[in-house]
Amino acid sequence: MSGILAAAIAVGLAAIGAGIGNGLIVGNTVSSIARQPELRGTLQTTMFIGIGLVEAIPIIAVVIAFMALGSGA
Amino acid sequence: MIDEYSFRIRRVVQWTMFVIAGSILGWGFTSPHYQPWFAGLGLGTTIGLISAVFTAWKVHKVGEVAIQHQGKKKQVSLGMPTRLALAVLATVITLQYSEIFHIATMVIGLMIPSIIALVDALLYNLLHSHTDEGGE
Repeated sequence: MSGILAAAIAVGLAAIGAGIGNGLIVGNTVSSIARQPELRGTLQTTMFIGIGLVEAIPIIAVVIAFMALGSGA
Repeated sequence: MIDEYSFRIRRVVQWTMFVIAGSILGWGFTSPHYQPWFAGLGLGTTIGLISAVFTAWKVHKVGEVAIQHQGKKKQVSLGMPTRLALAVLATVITLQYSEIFHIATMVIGLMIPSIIALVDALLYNLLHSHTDEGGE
């Protein structure tokens, strides 16, 4: 039971941070591309790197959650 | 402009494949004590590469929608559940066959494409900042 709770808290809290971060990145990039379409390549590269870095924490959290779930505590 | 994006994504894919090749070489040429480390690194890097290519495709799609559908409503997603499901798949494989794959190196492998993209961008900016002098 505590393993399921640990997994849920880990994934849920990490998803909140990733949601806010991804929202800021995508929103700002889309408004920048709409304003300056000629800079699309540079902006998309920055967005790709930003999303990769933001989603590092939820991915690690998912791994830890499944380890906690698998431990069967 | 769009060619620059494809070029840089291709370079990230290329360097990630070098890491996969290195982990396969490490798995083949080291003692059985170290083999789970390299197997985990290879598995994590492979799934991280799939995830990175998927992200690149989704980012390209978002950019296309931002240009072509200005003023109109069009929904696109970044595919975060797919990426998390890929990470879950890697974790389940590693936990199921824990004598073959090491979990810590698998997690490191999942992060490798992002780290390569960051280092590549830093180097790219460092090398190109000298030639672009005279701006603002």
